[in-house]
Amino acid sequence: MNNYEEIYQKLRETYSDEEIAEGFMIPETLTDEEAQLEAEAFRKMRFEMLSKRTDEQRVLSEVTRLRIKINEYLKEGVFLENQSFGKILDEYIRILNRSRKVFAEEIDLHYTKLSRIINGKETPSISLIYRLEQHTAELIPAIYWWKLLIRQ
Amino acid sequence: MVGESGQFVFDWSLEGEQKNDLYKLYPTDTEDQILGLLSLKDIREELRIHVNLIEVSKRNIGKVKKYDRIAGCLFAYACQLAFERSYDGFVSLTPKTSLIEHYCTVYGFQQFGRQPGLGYEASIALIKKYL
Repeated sequence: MNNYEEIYQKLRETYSDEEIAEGFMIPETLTDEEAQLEAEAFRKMRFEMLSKRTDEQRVLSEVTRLRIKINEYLKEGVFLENQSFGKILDEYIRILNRSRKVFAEEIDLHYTKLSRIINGKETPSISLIYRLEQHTAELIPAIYWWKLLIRQ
Repeated sequence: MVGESGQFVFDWSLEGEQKNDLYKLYPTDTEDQILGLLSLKDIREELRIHVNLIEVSKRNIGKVKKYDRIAGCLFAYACQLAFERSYDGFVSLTPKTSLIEHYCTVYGFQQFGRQPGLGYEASIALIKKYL
C-alpha cells in the first residue's frame, strides 16, 4: 500500500492544501480498527438511505442511467441492434415498471403501433419523439431519441 | 509507463495490487500523455463507488498548470460509473481531514458521518459540469 501520509507531507513542502486538493484525492491513513469502524458506520448509513429510497427515486436514477447509456452509444460511430430506438424504448418502459398497454395510453399511441415501433417494424413520428421527451421529464431529450432513430 | 513518466508521486502499481479499478485520463490525440489517474473500488453490496486515490500529473498542478479541471473530470467519471452500475450515482471518499472542506465546496460532496459522499443530485451536477 502507498504511504499516503508521508507523500502528503512531502507535497505540502511544495503545494498549498488547496493546490493539493485540486490535484489529488489522498485517502486518510487509518489504523485497521479505525478503517473497520468507519466502514461499518458508512455501511449502516448507506443501507438506511437505500431502505428509504422511493420508487420515484429509483425511476429517476434508472432513467439517468439510460440517458448515460444512450449518450455513450451515440459517441460511437456504429449501429448496434440491441441499442436501437425500439430496444431503448422498451428498456425505458421496463424501468417505469408499466405494461406496454398502459404506457401506450400515457403517450397517446395505439398499443399495436407501440409494439411495432419497439420491434422496429414502424418508424416513430416526430410528434411521438417530443412526447417521449416530455414523458421522461426531459431527462432523455428529443435529440437523443432522434439520433437513435437516424443511427439505424 | 506511469512510473517512468516522472509525472506521478504515488506508486500506482500498488493500487493495482489492492485490486482497485484503475483509470487514466489522456488527451484524445496522445494516449501516452497521461493527465490524471483514478483508483476506485466497486462496493457492490452497498451500491456505491469508492474513490480511493486521484492524482493529476505534475505539469497540471499548481500555478503553472497547463490543463485545469482534471480532478473534476475524474470525479465525474466515477459518478458516471455509479449511474451505469445502478448505484444512484453514489460515490464516496475517505480523504485527508484537512482536504474534506475543499471537496465539499468545489465538487458538492456532503458529509455522511466522517466520510464525504455524493448523492443523486450532486452526482448529476458533477457529470453535467465536467463530462
